[in-house]
Amino acid sequence: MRYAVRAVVAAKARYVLPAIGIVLGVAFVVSALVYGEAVRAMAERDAALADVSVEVGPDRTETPLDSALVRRLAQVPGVAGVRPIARGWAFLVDREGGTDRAAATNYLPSRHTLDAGQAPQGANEVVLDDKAGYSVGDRVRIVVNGVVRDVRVSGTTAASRSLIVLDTATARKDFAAAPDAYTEVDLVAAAGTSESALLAAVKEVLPDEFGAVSGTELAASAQADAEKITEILLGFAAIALFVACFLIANTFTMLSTARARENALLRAIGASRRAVLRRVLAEAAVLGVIATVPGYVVGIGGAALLGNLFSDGPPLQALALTPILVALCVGLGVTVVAAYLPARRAAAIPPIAALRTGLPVDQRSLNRRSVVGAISTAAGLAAICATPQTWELIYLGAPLLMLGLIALTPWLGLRLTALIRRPLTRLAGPRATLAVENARRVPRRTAATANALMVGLAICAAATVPLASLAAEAERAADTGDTADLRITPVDFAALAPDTAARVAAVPGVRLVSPVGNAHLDLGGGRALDAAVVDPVSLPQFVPVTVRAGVLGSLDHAIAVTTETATRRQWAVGTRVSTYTVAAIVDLPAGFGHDALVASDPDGQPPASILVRADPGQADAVRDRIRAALDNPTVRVHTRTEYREAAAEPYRRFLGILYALLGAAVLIGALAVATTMTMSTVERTREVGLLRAIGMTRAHVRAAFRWESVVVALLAAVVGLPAGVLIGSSAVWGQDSVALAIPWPTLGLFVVLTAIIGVVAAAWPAWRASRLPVLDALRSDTE
Amino acid sequence: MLARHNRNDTGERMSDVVAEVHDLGKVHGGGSARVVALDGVTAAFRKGEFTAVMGPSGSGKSTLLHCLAGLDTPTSGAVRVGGTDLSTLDDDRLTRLRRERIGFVFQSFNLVPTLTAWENITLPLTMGGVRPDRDWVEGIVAAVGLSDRLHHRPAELSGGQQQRVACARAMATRPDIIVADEPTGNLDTRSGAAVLGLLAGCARQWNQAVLMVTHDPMAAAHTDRILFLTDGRLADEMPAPTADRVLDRMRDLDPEAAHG
Ligand SMILES: Nc1ncnc2c1ncn2[C@@H]1O[C@H](COP(=O)(O)OP(=O)(O)OP(=O)(O)O)[C@@H](O)[C@H]1O
Ligand SMILES: [Mg+2]
Repeated sequence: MRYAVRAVVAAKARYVLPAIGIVLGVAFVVSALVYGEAVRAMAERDAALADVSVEVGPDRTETPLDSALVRRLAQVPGVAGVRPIARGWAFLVDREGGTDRAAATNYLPSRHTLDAGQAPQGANEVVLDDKAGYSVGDRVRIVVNGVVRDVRVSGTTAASRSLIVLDTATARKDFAAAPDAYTEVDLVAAAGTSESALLAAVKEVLPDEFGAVSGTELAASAQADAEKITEILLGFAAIALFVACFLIANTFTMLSTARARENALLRAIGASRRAVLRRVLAEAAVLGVIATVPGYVVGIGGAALLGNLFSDGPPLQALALTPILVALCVGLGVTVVAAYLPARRAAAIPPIAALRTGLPVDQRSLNRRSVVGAISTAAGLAAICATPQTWELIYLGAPLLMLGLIALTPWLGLRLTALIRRPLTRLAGPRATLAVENARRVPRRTAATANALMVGLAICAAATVPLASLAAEAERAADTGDTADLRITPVDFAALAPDTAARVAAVPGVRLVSPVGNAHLDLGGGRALDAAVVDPVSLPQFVPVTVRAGVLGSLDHAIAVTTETATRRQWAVGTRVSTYTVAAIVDLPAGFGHDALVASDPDGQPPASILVRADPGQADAVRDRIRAALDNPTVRVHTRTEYREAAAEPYRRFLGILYALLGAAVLIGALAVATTMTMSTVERTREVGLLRAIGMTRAHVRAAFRWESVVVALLAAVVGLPAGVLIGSSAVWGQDSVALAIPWPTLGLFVVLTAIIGVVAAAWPAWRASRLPVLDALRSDTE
Repeated sequence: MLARHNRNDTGERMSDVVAEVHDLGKVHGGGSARVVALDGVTAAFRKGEFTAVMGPSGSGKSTLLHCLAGLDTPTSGAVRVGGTDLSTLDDDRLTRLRRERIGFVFQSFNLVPTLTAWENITLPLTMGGVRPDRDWVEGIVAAVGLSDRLHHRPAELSGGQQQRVACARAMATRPDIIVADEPTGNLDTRSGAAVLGLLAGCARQWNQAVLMVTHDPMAAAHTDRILFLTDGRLADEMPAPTADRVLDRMRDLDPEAAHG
């Protein structure tokens, strides 16, 4: 072991890059565990704080939970406490004019312990969570139900996430479905009454349209969310570690090659194979342990980053036994496992090799590996092609395809480099010839290097295709066939105020407005109709409505249905549908997305969007004027193109998060390329000396290594990207609602980025090689 | 210094001098590890002249060649190739000079293992972005007798064939001077003779200056003159040598080696 430590220290330059790879992998695992645990602990604490035995709420938010029901629940035997709750979403306008979505709820003395100040009194006071950064007496703006309110901070309270506490009367007015109602009721069991007994008792008295869940179930679902987050993060960590294995294996293969003579000498003087094997594995173990320590530290940093990014920074437990043990197991385990095969090969060296000069050549045939790879690739392709019928086959097809391609890469690398040798030579002369030849020299090493990069690229491509397809679909759906110049919509979880349309209409430059809402018409018997709530007078100015039968009129107690709906349900003009009469049968543009038109929402919801016609050519100016007039950051005023882009935005953002999570795998892949290039320059010192002696300039030497690196990196792109695209496409093929959209520009960007990775990975090794003193290099005994 | 030297030598076909070293000194290391490899060597090399450098091991022969070829930098004195003082050149220009005006043949490991014989031969040309003149290069290839081996890699060639490829490469750019460090050191007599013939041809047919280090009196006898080095100093110069005279002189210079 002491020898191993010394060996690692002696070869530290060569171990730096693989160590970084292990650090990243371990850090990812630690981040996932520590962050996941923080989220779980927070959920647990919230549950304990909430102290709820049973929570009762309506199945549909429109159903009022009135005080009569609250009183009835209070009389259920075993209920010790009743907390009627009125809650929903509200937005706090931050100092930069942006918004922070917060859970808004009524003030409950038992739930909200004030750190400072007093409970909110009246509609003009709120209590904020202590992380919001305001103190008692500050004036803030909040947006509730689309209405901006100027309020005073009356107090602050500790909370694990953004919170706005309103006084009970205000909260009920804001969120409850009826004046006398609440949104939920929390019940606390009396001592001696079990949660389940209380739940059963409550269910006895509950009307049909209400549901009850136990506190345990509530806590469990919050816990399950936290566990899902941990699992997803661990999945990405596993990808990073898988890639790190290639990097580590490659490093140990190259080190064993460089030390072949030393190992043979050891064998010659009597060391057993097992002794040599142990020696290499001990070195791997030392490397793994050494890299685990910074890995753990970086992981804690990563967890803090995740905390700030995705939630309100739950308190992390930096030193916990589980993540420490897991980090050690992962750091040690992955390194030793990845080093095992190279170590066995190192141990298999015959003692006679000690007498040979030059580096031993890997003469194992590629045939068997290539055949296995081809079979696995073919099976994977077959499974993927069958996914439209049975989409679960993707779980079989994707790994088979990837593993097959990994096995096939040495062969593919030889074929592809043979193809590009001539054109590249014509392009860049002997620099390129040397680069291509060197990439061919050790096919397995080149393949393992490319594979490390390929895995990350393939997964990036596989994630990009379905998300790009969804984004394209969303953009298409955003094109609802209307001719509005501007479209006003609320941000997610927000709403437009009932008077927004009237206020917009008053803005100078606005010619016409037409609010559009969504209504869910209950037809009874479990049937429902998805209708648009429209103004039948102004709507045809924006949307081409073709009346096939009947008259559109004012839709007073009447509906217009699409031809398709009328045919399907066998309705005609005059048919009674629930409380409505079918007044007209109409054709709406594809993309409008509703089966019927009504004039008002039975639930009284405000419109979901407002279509605006502006003075000709004034769309941008009018948009800015509307924004200024509404002065509400939860309302989006978009031109047609902005609206389309905004529709695809959530997918792009999600893709951005995926790229960030896959970044570690790609980075480790890049490290693998850099490691191989470093070793490659060391091995070829003498060749570089020769080339310099017969007149190759430093710039050309650098270029030769850069080309080599780019060739290896592009091999990864050429194999990985099509595989990823195929896997990603198969996830879309089976879906009727989404059309496949291959994001060519993004894929092109990936190729460019891969080439850049190649250039950057070669930068330092190439520079070093070009600076070798010619005579020393010529005299070196490598190769 | 150099100017005076030139004036002194004007009598001897000054225009034919393609390379010269003047008062060349090279010291390796410092302190107790200080080794004087070259100590005030002055010599000129002319077109069409085949020169051998001889001397005991460690006498500075390789160092002289390396300095002359711009691979090593002298600690004192000057090297001129084609009228250019090498110490005035930066790395890129020195590299270019090596590529275009000097041909080098080493004792071993002369060829890039991943390139074919043809690619190795044309390497100094393609490396400089010059399209190889096919007729010229094919003429050389024919002269070195490798026409049927052009698409083989070095590993598929014998040692003698490899050295002949190296000679062809050294000749490919029509350099002013060809420098060979024990080119026949690892070869059997026949292959050695072939390589010697090629080098002699460079001087006689192509009118190049050829400089060769050798330990072999028979090989040295093929040359026009011999420079004898001992302890980094130019000990003697022998024009029109024969094998017997070389042997005699070697015995004088380094009795132990000649006896042993
Ligand atoms: N890089 C170096 N560092 C220190 N000393 C050196 C170095 N290169 C050469 N020398 C020394 O300089 C002297 C001349 O070396 P050189 O290689 O020129 O000898 P040589 O005449 O070519 O010998 P040989 O016939 O054995 O090839 C020797 O004493 C040698 O040890
Ligand atoms: Mg020598």
